Amino acid sequence: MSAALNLKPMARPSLTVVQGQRPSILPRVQGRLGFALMVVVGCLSIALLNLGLNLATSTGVYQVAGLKAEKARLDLNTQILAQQVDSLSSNQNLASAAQAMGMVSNANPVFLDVNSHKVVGDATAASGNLDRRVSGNLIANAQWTTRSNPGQIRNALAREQAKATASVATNVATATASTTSKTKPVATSSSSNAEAGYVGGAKSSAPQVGLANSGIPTAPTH
Amino acid sequence: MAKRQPSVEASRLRAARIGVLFILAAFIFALVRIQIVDAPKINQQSMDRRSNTVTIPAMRGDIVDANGKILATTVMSYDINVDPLLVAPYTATVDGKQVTYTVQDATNQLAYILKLDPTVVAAKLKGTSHYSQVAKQVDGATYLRIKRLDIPWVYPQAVPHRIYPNGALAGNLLGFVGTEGNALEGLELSENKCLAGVDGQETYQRGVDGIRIPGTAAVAVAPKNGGTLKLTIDSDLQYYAQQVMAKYVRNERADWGSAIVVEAKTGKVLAAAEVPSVDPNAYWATSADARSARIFRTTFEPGSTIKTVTAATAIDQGVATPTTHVLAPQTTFVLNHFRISDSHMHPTEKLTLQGILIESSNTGIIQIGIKVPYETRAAYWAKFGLGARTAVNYPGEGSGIVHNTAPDGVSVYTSMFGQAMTVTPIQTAYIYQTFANNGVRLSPQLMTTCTAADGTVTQVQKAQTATRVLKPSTARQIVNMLEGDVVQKGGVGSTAAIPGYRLGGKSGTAQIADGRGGYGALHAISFIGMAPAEDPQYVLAVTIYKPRTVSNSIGATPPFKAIMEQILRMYRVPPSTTKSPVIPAHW
Repeated sequence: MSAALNLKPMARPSLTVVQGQRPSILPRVQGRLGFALMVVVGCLSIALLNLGLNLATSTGVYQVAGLKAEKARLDLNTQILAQQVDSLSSNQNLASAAQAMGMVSNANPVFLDVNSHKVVGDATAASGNLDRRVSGNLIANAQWTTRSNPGQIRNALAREQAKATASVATNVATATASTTSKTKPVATSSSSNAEAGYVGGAKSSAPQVGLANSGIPTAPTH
Repeated sequence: MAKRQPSVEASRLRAARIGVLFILAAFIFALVRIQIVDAPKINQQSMDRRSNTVTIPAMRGDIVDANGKILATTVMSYDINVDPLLVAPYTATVDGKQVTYTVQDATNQLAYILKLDPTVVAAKLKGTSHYSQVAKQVDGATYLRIKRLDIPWVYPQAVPHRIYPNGALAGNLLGFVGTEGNALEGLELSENKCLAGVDGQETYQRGVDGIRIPGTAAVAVAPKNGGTLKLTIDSDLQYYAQQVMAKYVRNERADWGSAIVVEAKTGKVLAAAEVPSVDPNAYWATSADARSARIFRTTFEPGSTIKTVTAATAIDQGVATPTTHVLAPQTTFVLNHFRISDSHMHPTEKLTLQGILIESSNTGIIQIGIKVPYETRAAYWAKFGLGARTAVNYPGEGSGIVHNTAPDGVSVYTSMFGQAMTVTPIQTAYIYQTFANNGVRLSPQLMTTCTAADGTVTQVQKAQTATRVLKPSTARQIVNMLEGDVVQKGGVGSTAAIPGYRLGGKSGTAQIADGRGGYGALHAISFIGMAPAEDPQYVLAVTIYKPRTVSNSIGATPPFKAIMEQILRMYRVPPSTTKSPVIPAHW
């Protein structure tokens, strides 16, 4: 209240012209230019980024397309090979190759009963009778497009046989040398080797055949 | 204040403003119409132009044998199409060099690879449309060779193709599909629900160059591949049986032949061989009557193989034994004037029931069969499965005809030796399965499971049924007599003997109705048996229809013997160690 009471008219200041510096428009222009530049640069950056992304995406698209084409090519190769395998493993091809190699079926199956130590059946050699020859294929097969070459098979078998013979000869020679170097060969050693599947000094790689209690392999459907 | 007249400039300015406003309004109107009113329609049009919908073909499922060997499968093959409007000389890169080929060059190359006549190919290259098919469903290797030609106007198209790697092996059972992949015959048809897949659909957006835009693919409907159907058939045995039958059908100049192998204790069909058999890869090359399974479809009068049923019925009813005595003349008359004769000439013989089966005597069996009322025998036939389709439910399967009441007086007698009734080969085989399985008939099992693409396994056939038809003692006596048929001299059966093994069997030489009320000159010969007789495991039924070089069942025992030897070898059946029982055949 006292403040109000103390109010008294003040002397009106006289207006005087002050010589001052005219304000420059440069900072304002600079600010606008900076903003414009920033916008332009920003836009350009976005455009460039977009371009880069588009390029990367396009490259990716073509890479994906290329990989898909590669997969299709490999799938096709797999299919072609699978069909060749199917053709080669068809009964028609096997029978035909067997016949070409002069194979003969034996009508006198013989079984070894390991429990009773007996040979079951009449062990006679397969006859060369034409009736017993594996018959040439009589079953049509339009998919039988790839055929075995009996000559190649015979050669491959001969090579394998020669290799096996050479291997056995080497093993026998090694075993002989080893035995002669020992002063007292242990009989039980060879016996245990035989039980463990060692034949002629070389470990047999043939898979063991499962036998039923009777010692005769069970029928596949049982 | 004086009213100021608007200046010309102001008027123009106003007009311009109105014009701008009008144009603006038009734009706003168009904007609203395009962006809001017509937006969905325009979006759809845009999508339609950018997008492409393709069918994703489902692969039909495999059919495999009991050991998983593939009998039918689906691969991709290729239709070779061209755009005739673009046919022109072209340039291809060969060994790094650009070489220009003429249309004639291209024609010759295509014709050579596709094994077609060049004039045929040339004709296919002409046309007014963008599409012409030069070859259909060529294999992958041929497709690759075509592709390497790099002809710009050749457009190969991949399509699923059904193949059967073993050709006609079990072809009649498997059936086949048409060139469009639709099931037409056999198990392909009856098990289509398991095997057929459901095609899918995929939509994607593509750029101007046709390359699909990543991330835009949308699988509208995923394809569902078909399931794998597993059979009880052993393809190796099937092949052997088919080979043997092919040899004998050819040598005996027969219409057809079949061999059915049944695992006696499980009822599984291990082989169902037929000759001639269709190669499903090229079914059109086989005559229409040879494209289906006669084993299930063909019905005919079985003849003497039914005598064992008559004998079993009499024994089971307690009115006969294997040693029951009869006097069997060469010819006899029933109902005063119907003559019944034996197939071979002989004086009146003193036969036992065993002897009747060995000599397959018609005049003898009717003296045994007449002891059982017809209706009782008909009831046994029903329990043996005659007159009804089997559980396999093969497409078009025959049921055969047996009469519950005798259609006429003579049928009472003729039905005792397999006339006045018809059966299918599969029905006959399961009569003998019943004998081999101690008198219990198992419903035939040809298929086991269907494994869906998602791994779900379902049983294909209904649960197997077991029907007690005969007392075990009756079945044993029948098996003993069947063994006697093979072991004892005098009958055809002795020619089926396999050294070292006990086996039993019965021959049949059935007359074939000529459709004019009589019988023709040709026969259906058969031999059905089992091994090893001391505990039968396998039943084999061989039928040869209308052989022309033999007139009785002596033509059926060689293939029976060959196939049975293979069965015993394959399934590791050791030779018999016991002796066959000897039942007197004469008195």
